Amino acid sequence: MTTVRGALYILLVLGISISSLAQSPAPAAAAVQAQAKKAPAVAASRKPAPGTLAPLPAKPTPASSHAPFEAGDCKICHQSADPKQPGPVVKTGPALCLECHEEFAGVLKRPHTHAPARADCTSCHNPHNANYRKLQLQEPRTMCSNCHDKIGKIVSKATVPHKAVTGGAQCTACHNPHGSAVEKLLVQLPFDLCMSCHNVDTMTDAKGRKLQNLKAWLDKNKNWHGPVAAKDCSSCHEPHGGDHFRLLKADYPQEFYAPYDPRAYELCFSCHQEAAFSTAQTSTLTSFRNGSTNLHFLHLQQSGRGRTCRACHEVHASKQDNHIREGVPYGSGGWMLKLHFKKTATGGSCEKTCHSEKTYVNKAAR
Amino acid sequence: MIFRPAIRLGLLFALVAGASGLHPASAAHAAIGTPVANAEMPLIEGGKAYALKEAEANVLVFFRPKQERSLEALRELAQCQVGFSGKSVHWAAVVSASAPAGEVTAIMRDTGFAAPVLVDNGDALYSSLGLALHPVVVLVGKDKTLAAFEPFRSVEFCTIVGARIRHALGELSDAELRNVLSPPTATQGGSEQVARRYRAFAEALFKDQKYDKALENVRKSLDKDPRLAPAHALLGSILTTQGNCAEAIPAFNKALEIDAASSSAREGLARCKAGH
Repeated sequence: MTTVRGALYILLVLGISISSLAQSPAPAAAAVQAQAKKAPAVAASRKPAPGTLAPLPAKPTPASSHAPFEAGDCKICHQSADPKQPGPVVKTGPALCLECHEEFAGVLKRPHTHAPARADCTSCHNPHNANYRKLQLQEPRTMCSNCHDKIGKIVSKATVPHKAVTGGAQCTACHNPHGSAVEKLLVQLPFDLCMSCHNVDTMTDAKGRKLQNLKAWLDKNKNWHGPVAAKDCSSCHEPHGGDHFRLLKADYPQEFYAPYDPRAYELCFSCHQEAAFSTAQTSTLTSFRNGSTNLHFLHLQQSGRGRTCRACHEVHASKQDNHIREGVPYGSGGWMLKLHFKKTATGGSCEKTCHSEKTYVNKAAR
Repeated sequence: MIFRPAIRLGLLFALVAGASGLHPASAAHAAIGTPVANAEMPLIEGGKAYALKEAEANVLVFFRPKQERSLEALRELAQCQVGFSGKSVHWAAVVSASAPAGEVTAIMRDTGFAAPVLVDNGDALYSSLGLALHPVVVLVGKDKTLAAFEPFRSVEFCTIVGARIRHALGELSDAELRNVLSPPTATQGGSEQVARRYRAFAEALFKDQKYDKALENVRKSLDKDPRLAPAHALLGSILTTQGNCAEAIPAFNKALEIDAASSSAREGLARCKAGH
């Protein structure tokens, strides 16, 4: 009996068409069934191993169980009501599941859909019961890494992990494994997704260090850095895990003072022109200039005490233009060094900060 | 000295771009609606061309060779261009005069992005638009004013740039554009969906003549979503089959109250009233 049932499950996994009861599929299910036939076949090596879809033993209690299986109603899906010999399923592919899970017909019509979901729900789900929630064959990170092995390696090797990926819903915290309106099956645009978590005062990183309530910060500071305004947090941050502070994709100086080295600004120069900071004289590369004297160059490249970006700029948002911050934490006593930046009709000025008032002019007065 | 070409060009751009009264560099870019001057610029392969053409949309793509993000952006835009073939859209790439010509030619070839490459002497156009990064797409409307500014993003770049262009062409409404810029959250499930599943399960059980189980599951459906008309209608049908029209009639009436077009509820009600 076990051998016969095992053989039947193998046939199910390989998707061999077995003549089924004559049932007209609902229109949506038929459309998806047709789409599933056209979808690229899931590689044989990535399909569940034979026997994986068999019911799990009752003990230890599986984490999730399919209602028809739990009720003993094998005939909902199989040709026979006999639980010992239920026979083949009455339909193949997602069409069978869509008879009840009708909302997925719409999900599978979204602009971006997941190939295994289009091909066969049993790519990821055990139709009987499972040791993971929602009848998943494995926990998301393990299951997704079976195909997305490069991402899997990034996650497992990251020295700076992202808790959203390593815990909780894991990959499905950000990705809809069936279909989405956003590329890469993201549930929302990166910014909206990130803000759904980074909106509290109590969040900490993997080492227990407190993280900023970014939503509150952005609500109070309306001059947003380009990638933030473009809702693209992943321009600067590696969402799966990385090796830089705060999941940054590349180097960004953590210090207030540092000798100028373009390698330390790899992150910034992935968008901004390095020449704007290393050219002593310019009238076009930056507006932070006095005439053609480049004041970025002056500040960054002071011998022995170059200021880094964070000395003057907020990285996410500020109240002032050009992301100039109001003050910067200075020293270990928690004192805020105010920048006292003022924009003028012809440029700007900074006073009573690192230096006495200095004014710059980058255009002629009207 | 003031009449050196790069400075003259910059002054020309600044003269027009500064018309709004704001210095373009004081913001991340010049304000939307700022007039964009149409100067003649050298082409990377020789000769000259005007930055803007008489088109519904001029798409200027500022990039740097040997920049990873520029490579990704041009690759995506090469695909994006296909959808605008034959439409009144003029594409042009813009590079700084300091970019090595060989590297520029190579990136254009490798990415397949089809556009003339304008050489921005002294970064005059870049500066006049208040730009501070690469790569960035600048969309100029047919009135020759700045219509949109889209820096490269790792997700939905072509979708968003494409939507901006279609909006400029009048193919997309404001509301449709907003929908692209803020796409709906990809949710699924929830109480309503669970209710539908229980209803579908109950229906299958009903067809299989397992009436008690069907009743149990249709009631679970209504617990999750008391406003699910098909579930009320199914409840009525199950009760009718069990010979319980007294309880079936209120179920049918409830279904019709929620959905007056429910044929199964109307037919079930008629059967009960006729004494069947």
